[in-house]
Amino acid sequence: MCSFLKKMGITLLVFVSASASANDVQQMVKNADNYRQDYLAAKVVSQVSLFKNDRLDKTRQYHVYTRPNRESLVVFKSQVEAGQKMLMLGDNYWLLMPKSRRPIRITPMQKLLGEASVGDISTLTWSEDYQATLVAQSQQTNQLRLESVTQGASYERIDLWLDAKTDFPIKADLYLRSGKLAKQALFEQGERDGQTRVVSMTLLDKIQPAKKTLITYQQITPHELEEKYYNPAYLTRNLDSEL
Amino acid sequence: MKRLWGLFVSLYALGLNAQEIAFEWDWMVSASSIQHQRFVLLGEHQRHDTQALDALLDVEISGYNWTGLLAAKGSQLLSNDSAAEYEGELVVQELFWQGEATLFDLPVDLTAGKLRLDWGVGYGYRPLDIFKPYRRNPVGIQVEEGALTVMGSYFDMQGDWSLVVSDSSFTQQAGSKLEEATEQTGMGFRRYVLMGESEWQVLAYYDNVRHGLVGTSLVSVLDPAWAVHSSALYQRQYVTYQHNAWYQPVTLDTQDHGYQVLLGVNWANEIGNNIIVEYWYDSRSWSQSQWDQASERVKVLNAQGSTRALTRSYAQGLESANLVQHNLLFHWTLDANAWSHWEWSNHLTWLNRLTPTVDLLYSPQDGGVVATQWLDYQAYDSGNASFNIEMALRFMSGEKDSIYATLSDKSMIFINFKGRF
Repeated sequence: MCSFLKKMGITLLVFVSASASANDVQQMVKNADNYRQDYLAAKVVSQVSLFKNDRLDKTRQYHVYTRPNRESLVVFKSQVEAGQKMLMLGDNYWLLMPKSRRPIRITPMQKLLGEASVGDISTLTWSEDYQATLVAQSQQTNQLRLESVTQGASYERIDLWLDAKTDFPIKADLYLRSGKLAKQALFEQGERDGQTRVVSMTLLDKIQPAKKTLITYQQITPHELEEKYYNPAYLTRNLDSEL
Repeated sequence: MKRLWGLFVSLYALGLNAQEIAFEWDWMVSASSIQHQRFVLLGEHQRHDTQALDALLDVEISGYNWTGLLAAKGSQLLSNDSAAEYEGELVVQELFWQGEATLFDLPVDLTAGKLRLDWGVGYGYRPLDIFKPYRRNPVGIQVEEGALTVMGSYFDMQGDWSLVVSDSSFTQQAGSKLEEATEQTGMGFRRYVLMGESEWQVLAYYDNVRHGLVGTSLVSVLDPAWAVHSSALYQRQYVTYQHNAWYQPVTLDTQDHGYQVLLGVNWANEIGNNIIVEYWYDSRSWSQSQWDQASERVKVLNAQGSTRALTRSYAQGLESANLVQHNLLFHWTLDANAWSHWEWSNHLTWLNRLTPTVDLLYSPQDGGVVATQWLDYQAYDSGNASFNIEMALRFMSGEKDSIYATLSDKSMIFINFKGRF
């Protein structure tokens, strides 16, 4: 009985996968990305609230300057982190600590660490980091499996549920390299500049259920920084109070 | 001192009203207890232990292209050593201007002023920290000053070109005789390049102490978990303490051809373990035979009353950047969030505020070990202000005749209260 159900499951998975071409699935992911961030280069102002047992524990504020090819500069704006910056160029990462004039090269693993993982704040698109396949369909949702294709992807695997009609992201299960379910993301729909957009993301910690993170996208505007801001040697320049 | 605190209160009030100027405040109160032992080069310490309380308040002020980093340091606020006197200092760690200009149709970024410029790579030691080297991995309060610097940088698609003129003699804090003798004025350049997953730099610098140096470094990330780093530096001349004849003290002398080499590997996993292993060699430090000779001479000189005064000169060997030529370092730290990955600690959410760090510095030539442990607990963090409590322990250990095991400060315990706002 058990093996019969297994065979049925596999047949269903193959059928579902075959019914949508790879191009269609990648387009679904791109559509979902556009609800989060649809500019080529943008400034994202986000407020992060960390809750413990449903009580606000601390807040953080970040300005993220993203551009194509998985390049972004994260400027830490909270008073306790002021002066800290992280530069991400593909799978290369540098961290500049407050009051320091020496950028530190860090590995993709080190980038994942921290209470409000910088990866959760800085990555607003999936299509550049993940290869998607369709694993299940219903009248309301399409369930996609996203496998990482880059070293720097924040999660090894993502199970993503999209609205079947609009491709708006509904929720995502985020898995570590060890295969452990780390977080579940819930996306809130709202309006920004007259368009339907993801206005906030709630991350439920599946390893420590007492913890919850709310990331609110306060402002997303088209913004192109000068080329030199994406140069690791430029990180120590302190002319960024306007960033 | 009252005027000093008045200045800081005024700066804080200004920060509340000034929108164009950013203020970042840090403070630290450090209580320490140091256990002493008899050190062959210094003789018997006057006290068995010393307890002291020190404090620091610093602020970085930035705006209108200017950055200033000011520190108010109070040493020996309290002490059980009646000979130790309270000392208050206001130190301008940095004060520099940064701007842009066009030279020969090229956009050039300029920096001028007192600046803590450090091109070194590495954790335990950074050979390319050539202007005014930082003291490394402190357990208590430490205030680092910059060197007077004028630098022009051109940023291209690969990295940058920098031309720099520097003078490290404009310092307020008293340094050792060796530090004062190596204060330099010079100029040089650096080329930094990012190429794929690797970054390298080469630099050349000429000053009135080293009379020419060249250095290079390479940092490469191999995969998500592993990275390697290395650096090397050659200098035409260096200043060091030299042994002389039996009945003469050691003296500062200039030697030819100094070099330092560092190799390191860094590993991290997704749970939050981070390990660094480094080896470095410093040809300027005393060799094992020089330390043995110093120890042997001190024993003989101590035996005669008339020559006893000479023995203290050998203790100046401790002023070197590295006490021994060969150094091996192991560093481990655990990210505070790692505790949630284990079942036994999963429900203890307070552990998510605790960051342990261990450093082991080993001297292969004589078997000495310096073991340092930090336990940092984040007691409060709202986003606007934070407060941490840190306990730092340092033990000198290893082979009983090794330099580290025989240092006069046998063990140190520091309780540090730190905050940001």
